Amino acid sequence: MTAPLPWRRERRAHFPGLPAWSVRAAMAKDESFEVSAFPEIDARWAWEGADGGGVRVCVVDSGIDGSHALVAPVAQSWQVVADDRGWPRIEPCEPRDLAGHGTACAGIIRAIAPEAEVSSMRVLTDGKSGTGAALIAGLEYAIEHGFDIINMSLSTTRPELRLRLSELADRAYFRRCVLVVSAHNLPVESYPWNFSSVISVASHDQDDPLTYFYNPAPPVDFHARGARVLVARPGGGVVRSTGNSFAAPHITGIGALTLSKHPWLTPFQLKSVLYHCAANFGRVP
Amino acid sequence: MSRRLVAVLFIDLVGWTSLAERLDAEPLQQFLERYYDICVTAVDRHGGIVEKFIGDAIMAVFGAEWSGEDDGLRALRAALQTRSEVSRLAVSGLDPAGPGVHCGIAAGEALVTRSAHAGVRIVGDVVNLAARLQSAAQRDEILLNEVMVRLVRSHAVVAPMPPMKLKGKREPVPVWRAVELADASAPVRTGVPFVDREAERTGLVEAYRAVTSTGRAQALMVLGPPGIGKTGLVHEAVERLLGETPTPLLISGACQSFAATGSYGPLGQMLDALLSHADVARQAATIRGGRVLEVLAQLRTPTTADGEASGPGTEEISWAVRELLACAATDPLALVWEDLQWAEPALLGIIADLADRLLDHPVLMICVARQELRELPPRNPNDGPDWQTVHIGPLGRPHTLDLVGSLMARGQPAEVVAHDMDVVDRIVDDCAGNPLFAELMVETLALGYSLGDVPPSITALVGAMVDRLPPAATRVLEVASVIGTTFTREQLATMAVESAEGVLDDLVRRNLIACARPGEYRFAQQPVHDVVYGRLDKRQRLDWHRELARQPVNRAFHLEAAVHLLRVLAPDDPELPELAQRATSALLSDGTTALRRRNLPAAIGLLRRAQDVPPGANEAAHALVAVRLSDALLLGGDLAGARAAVERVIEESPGSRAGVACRIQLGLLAVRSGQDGEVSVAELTEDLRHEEADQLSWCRLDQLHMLRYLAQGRFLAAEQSARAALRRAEEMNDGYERDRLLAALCEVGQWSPTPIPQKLAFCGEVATRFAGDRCLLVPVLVAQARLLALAGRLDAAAEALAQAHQSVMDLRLTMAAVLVEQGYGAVAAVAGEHERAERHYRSAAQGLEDAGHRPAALAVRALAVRERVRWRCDDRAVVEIGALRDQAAAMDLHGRLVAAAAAARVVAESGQPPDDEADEVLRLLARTDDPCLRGDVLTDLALAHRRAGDGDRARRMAQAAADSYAAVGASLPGSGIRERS
Repeated sequence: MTAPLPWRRERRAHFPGLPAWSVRAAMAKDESFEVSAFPEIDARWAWEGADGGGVRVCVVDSGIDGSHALVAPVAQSWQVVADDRGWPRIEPCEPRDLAGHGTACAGIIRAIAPEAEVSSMRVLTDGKSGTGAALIAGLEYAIEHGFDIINMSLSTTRPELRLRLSELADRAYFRRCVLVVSAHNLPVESYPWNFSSVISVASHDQDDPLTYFYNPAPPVDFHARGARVLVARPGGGVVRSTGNSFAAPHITGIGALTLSKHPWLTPFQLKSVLYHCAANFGRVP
Repeated sequence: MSRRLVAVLFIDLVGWTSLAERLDAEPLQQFLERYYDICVTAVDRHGGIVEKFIGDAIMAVFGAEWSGEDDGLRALRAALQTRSEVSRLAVSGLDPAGPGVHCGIAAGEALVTRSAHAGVRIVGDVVNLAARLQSAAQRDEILLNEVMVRLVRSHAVVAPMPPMKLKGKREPVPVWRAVELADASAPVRTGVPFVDREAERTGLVEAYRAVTSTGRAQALMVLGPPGIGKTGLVHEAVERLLGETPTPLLISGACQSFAATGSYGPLGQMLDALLSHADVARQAATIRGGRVLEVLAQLRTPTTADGEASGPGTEEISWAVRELLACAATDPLALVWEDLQWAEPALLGIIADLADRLLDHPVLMICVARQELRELPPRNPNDGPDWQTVHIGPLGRPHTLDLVGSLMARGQPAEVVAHDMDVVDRIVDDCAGNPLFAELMVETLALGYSLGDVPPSITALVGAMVDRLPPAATRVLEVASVIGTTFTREQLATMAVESAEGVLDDLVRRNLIACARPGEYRFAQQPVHDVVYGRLDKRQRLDWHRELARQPVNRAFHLEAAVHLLRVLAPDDPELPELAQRATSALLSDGTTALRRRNLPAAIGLLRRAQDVPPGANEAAHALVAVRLSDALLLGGDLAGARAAVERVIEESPGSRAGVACRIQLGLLAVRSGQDGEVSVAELTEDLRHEEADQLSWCRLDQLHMLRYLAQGRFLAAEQSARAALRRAEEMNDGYERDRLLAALCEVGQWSPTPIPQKLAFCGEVATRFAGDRCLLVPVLVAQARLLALAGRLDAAAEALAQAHQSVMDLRLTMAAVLVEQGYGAVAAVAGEHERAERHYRSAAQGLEDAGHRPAALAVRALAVRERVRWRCDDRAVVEIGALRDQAAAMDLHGRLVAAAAAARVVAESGQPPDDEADEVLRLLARTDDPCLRGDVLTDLALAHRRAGDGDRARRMAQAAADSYAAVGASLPGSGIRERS
């Protein structure tokens, strides 16, 4: 009996020691899947020589420490606050990050796409967690403000937020705003990373920041570096961290490189280009 | 004497005063006797001790003499029993509600002391808290503090009360009311995901299948440390057995940690379960005319208070149980005995006997116990079934990760969460594969405590394990906890601790410690270490830390711990300053070693700790700590932190010697980040005038001079300052400063007017000295390469660069790689390979820009463009020169000169006279004494003038360039200019 096609098979048990939805690079490399390729599209075509210049990225997270040498400068910085009636409101703020999570993500993007313009939308108002209302308000604002890529290394398990997030993801898609979202670290249902309108990212266990794999078995689109990543720490210096959180900004950085070289790519084209440039992509003879 | 987690219970009569008013003395006395009797019996029955009577109130303590890991629960049981029995006390003439009590129970850490005249004494805030809770409680209420609730949560129903303002407490205290005990037959912990253990589960099912297929008994002993998941495993396996055909009749029971003597643990309850099956009861009634049921009925009658033992003996009970089970075992029977480590020998004997005598019946016997119960009482080996032992060890890391992950997900109240795993990783590390520890740690976090807080249930569990150890083993464990989370047999030996093989093996077997390598051990889990250490009397800790500080291993850690303990125990101790001084020095020394090895996180951690030791008499060490910490932070790219480290000292002691050293460091940081203007060297020198002995400050001041001269382009002066600083470092015998300065001197030498042969000889010496540390060697090799090239020894230069390049690649040195690129550019430039030189300079400039060193990046970019102009003066070169000249303000002198000279050539190339640019070059040149730079830019001017047709000026410039090269011994560019002119 032949093995089922990857996109039809049962969900694979997750690899012990890695976040859920993630793979060992050694296995991703060997996974074979049929492709219809555009032969001229490769990494060289997509981002060689690019620096991310002209691309606007927003990190929807815990804020960004704008004084960190590995992250600065932060172009714009907002936070979600509750108004008198408890409704979420967006206001500009100093680029600061008490939890460190957003700074870590921004540092990864900056390292890959040094000239990309990086902004911050702080929605995780309570350390590394926050409310659904703040997430939705912050995400909506970022989508409306014309960012090319929004990085979200977070999610919610609340089903009641699903519909609203799905609408926002579609709106972003049609406005040519690419949402790059990390998969949850546990094998649970959460949103919005598992929507088809976003680019979803889990981890592999190798150290190369530009090596990523296409995943033919949904809902995760790509596996990027996410284990033992050296990330910027607020207040200066670096620290080693693991989690799908750090895989998504790698794809955001690579996406920014690609968009800086090919600014007219739509979200669906960008996902397709990323697919063609993945390390496990078999060239059609 | 030790620090222990205890539960303190206060019981008080309600309405005692009015009772005393209404009753005559005799009935009052009679009533009181009965009341005290109830209280004392309840406390005693549940393993507590009555510490004192205060009028009608009673204070009892659980866990003071020995920890039973369920001290909290036993205190609660005693309170519940007292409440119920006192309410039934009949007092004639009183209101129908009868007498009542109100209770307070607080659990927490307390110092337990024993003395001949006072008996056991409990000292700690927990006593006051329990008393306050009791007075706040209404009639029939039992109020609990938070630690109590965390201890009994899974065994009792509690209801939160509004936080209470209690006398003597600043903040309102969270309080709960005990409602009732949870149903004892329900599983203790539910909902904890079960991971892995597939092999063990299958093993249990296989054993049952063997029972059903052969019709003979099988016996399994499941052993493992507390919390490892034995009960969970057996429950999971039993679930599977219930899906088998034929289905077994399942009977299970668990021993309690504290039960009245002679109660045979759960036996009665298990037999009741059996007898609830009508046919079993009917058959049993026929044996020996009902004698079996008679014996069993007597077994279930609790022992009378006066201890009168008139019931059946063990032999008779054993017989009755066997007969009953044989009746039941016509169909497959599964018997599960849990927590057998608490079983009395009599019960263990009965179980061993059962297994033997029921061999020919379809019985699966599963005994669950901690490792300390290795086997049942000896029996005839030919008789019974072969006992199969299943050892349950810690979960593997991947499975622990899964477990912690799902526990975290379950307790996740936040709507939106970030997808990092820092907390998960930390818990996985600390729990070391123990599922219960993992669960309790996640719960601790969910309650808002920090990760380092040991959950009280773990404290209780580990405390109970330690209390059951033989004294020799306890001693070893305690000393080991002071040594650290890892320790060796040798270290124990230096502490004169009897650490015979057997003792350590016993501790390993009990899963309190693990053996890493022969002779090397670590605590099985972080909390085990923390609990053992936390239980030690602080004076004992202090003595041992002092003792250990005399050993070479981890001196800094022990001195530091000793200082912090002494500060708490005896803040006025005359030895404290000296001890603090030694702690600071030891931490400084370790921190500096880490810094020299560029292990920055370790260095920063050690130096921060050194900074947190209270300053002793020696200010110099204090200053040195701040300065080194600042260096380490700067090296890690944290400029703001580097400033803060010294600013803190300046604020704390502005006029002191330490303050001056730190202000100099602040000056060094300012100059390094291009804010030269902020520094007043004169003021610093003035402050140091009377401090000739403060070698460190003088050494650092010389370095400040060096950096300023460098920024100004005055290289001879910079070199001299560096030499002066080096002399001081050598006088101080400070290897760290010396190495820094040797490297700095090599680098400065590239630009100074000192003759090249002399500088090459110096670089050679330094290279020999640094041979063991390739990271330090790279900048020396690069300087050497450039000097060799200038002296015309291109092959040797290439060799030095190749060696530097190899080191950079091997060691992945990002910034040093940029330096090597610059070296390649410089050597290629001297060799006249301008296209190659341009390429290397560009790459170096990019590297500097990426790292945020803008002025340096611009200077190197100017070099790249100069090289381009030298081989192809095209439009790109013109545009780039223009762009660079626009940024002159952001450039250092070197960059401005190079850019101006290149601009002169571009202007001349377009046919114009380069007069303005030449003037600018000459004006700027007056400010530097770098002979090669001088030669380079004058050569460019000569070529520009010649291109513009001004042969006379061209010759003059060429001559000046040649002179300049000759002065320093730069033979290769010197010969080049002579050839061209």
